[in-house]
Amino acid sequence: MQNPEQHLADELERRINGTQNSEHELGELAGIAQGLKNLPRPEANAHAKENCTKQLLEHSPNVVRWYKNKQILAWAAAIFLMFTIAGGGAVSASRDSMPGEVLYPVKRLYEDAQMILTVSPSGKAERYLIISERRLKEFMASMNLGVIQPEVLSSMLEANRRAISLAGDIPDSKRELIFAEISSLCSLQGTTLSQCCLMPEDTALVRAAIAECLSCQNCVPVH
Amino acid sequence: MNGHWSQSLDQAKAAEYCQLYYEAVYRYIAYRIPSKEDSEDLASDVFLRALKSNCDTPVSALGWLYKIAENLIIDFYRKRGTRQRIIQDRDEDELPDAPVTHFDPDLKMDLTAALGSLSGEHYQVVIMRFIEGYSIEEVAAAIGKSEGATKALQFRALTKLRGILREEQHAKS
Repeated sequence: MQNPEQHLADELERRINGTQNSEHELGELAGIAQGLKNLPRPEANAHAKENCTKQLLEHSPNVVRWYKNKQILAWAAAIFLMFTIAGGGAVSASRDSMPGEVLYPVKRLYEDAQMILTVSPSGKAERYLIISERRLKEFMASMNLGVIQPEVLSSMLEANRRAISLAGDIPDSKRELIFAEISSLCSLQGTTLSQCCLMPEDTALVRAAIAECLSCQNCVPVH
Repeated sequence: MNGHWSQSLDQAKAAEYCQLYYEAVYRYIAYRIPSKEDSEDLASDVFLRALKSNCDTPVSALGWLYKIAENLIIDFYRKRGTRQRIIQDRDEDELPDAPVTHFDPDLKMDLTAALGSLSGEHYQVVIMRFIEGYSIEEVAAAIGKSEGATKALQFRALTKLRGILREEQHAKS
């Protein structure tokens, strides 16, 4: 059913169009409409119109900034999301990857990125210790499969060295704690590596690593 | 009123629409801006702004130009720190109810002033319908509403105009 206002609006339209006699209230509105039709029209200056047209033609090309183009923004957002989701998934999946696996480089890259984002010396030292511990696990896992990974071992030792180097720059309150962590980790690494059954050709490499770990085990804060 | 602008408006197309719609846009502005020079400047700004902007969906060219003009008029009064005489939200009950009797040519100034007091869609409908002479169907297409809604808008706009005229008549008497 038509509402009263719509009915009046339709009625008015009929009266404006002259299909019904105007009377009373609607007649008044139709009269106003007629008055509007008879109003004098403001005349635009022809010169102003030509000037406007000229201005438009001389206007410098409409350079659409990429950030104002919704289509480009939509694509950029989609690509960003795709990379974020795919990247996040790859990082997550690479967490347990082992040397030689497809996702292992992703894991190492993620570690590098985390290291760059860590600012404080103590934070960096702790992160090196985490990496070093991770390398030990990877080395042992490879060993159990009969594969020696010299690069993983040297990476572990390098992480230890960097942690020790950074520990010297850490304020007193935290320095001893970091050194204690280094000692503990080196001790664990030395012990774990000592228990390996090695092939004769690999023995020298691992022995050198054990020796370095055991020397680190006794490292002390430098005052 | 068949012009439709798509996403990218090139200069030639803008100039073509300027030739087609400049007068209509100027009239839309002129009833509400007293100065002829200001009205001309604003009318030019409407086309320049249309050229610079990106419009995603095709819309009625004149309807879109009117919307730009409406915004420019609001900006114009805002910058000047003066308020436009807008009576759009006035309660109908507050208006005097004596019948409006002055539509003779001598009193056209009253109607012109009252028309300038409208704003937004009411003004747009009145201008398109009674000044530019478009049909209800064409106005509905331009403002993106149904014919029924457009008729209702027209009804409310005229009722508002009547209220303004009654008030002026009342003040004079």
